[in-house]
Amino acid sequence: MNRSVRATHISALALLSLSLAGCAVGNRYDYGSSIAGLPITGTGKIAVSVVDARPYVLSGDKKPDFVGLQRGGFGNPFDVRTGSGQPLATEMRDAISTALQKQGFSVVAAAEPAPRKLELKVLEWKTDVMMRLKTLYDLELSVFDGSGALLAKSATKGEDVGGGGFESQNASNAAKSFELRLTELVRDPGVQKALGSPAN
Amino acid sequence: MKNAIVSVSLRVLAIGLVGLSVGACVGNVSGQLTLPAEQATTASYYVQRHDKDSRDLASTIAQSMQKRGLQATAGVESARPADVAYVVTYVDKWMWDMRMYLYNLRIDVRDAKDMSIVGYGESMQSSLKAMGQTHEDIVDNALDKMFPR
Repeated sequence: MNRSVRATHISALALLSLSLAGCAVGNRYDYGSSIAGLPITGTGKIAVSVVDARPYVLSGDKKPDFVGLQRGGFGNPFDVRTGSGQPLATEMRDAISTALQKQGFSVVAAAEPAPRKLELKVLEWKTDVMMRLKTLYDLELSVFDGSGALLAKSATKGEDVGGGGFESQNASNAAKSFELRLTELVRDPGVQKALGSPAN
Repeated sequence: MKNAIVSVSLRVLAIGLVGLSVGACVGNVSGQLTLPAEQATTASYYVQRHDKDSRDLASTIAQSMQKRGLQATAGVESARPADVAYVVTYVDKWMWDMRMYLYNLRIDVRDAKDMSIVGYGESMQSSLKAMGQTHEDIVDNALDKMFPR
């Protein structure tokens, strides 16, 4: 009798856990093609780098491809990773580079000499989803000249809260948040001036 | 033994039913606009109809924006006026559940000069949540986050 009841209990719990965690495991968000356009145009050469300075990544608690948490039915967290499996910084750099190229710039690797260098420092970027999608962000955008002198800097920090849905909707909203925040940083008058001058 | 099994089964069934009822009525609205309020109300918008939109949601979106006092027109990309300040694009996802319903509508507002994003609004609703709601209601939900009435 006991064995039969226990088996039923275990099966029921396993089914329940599966149904509650089924949508929460193995989620991936792609940031690599998240930016459709940027409010800057030019034809100059620009080096682009993204520095992942998230404390939990620097300490090794989370891998560089960690982008946030998806919670199961009991609030139990599961890691969300980048769509490509590459570090978040790589996907963000790809997105920024592609957008800048679309705007006319010639993008080179961070180590290559260029009259301007754009550096995005990611102090925080993490989504947390259960019923709502919360995006925590703390970003700094710096523009340097060819000798490494800082020309302009803009920063944004806060959290976006929106509705949570299935993986594809969350991924799309997370990418859109990044596009919106980066656009906000690039729209800064100082950054505009610093980026615009070498190109023209 | 029989009683214990029945009891466990009933409990699991009850939890399952609660889960289903909660999950079936899911819906949420999100979005934001980064434009200053004055600029948002005086600017001109063009709602760009996409190729697969057989229901002409573009016109519905433009009409809803006009009702909010905004200067909005709709049409295909090739007919976009040169002097328009912002372009409004949208992605509509439809699903079948005894009828077609608008499962997800995402509206983006972009600067016409460079297509950089300035805001977005999104409305997602499950079949049950969408019951009794028209396309216009869902368009309104998504726009409310950017252009409050």
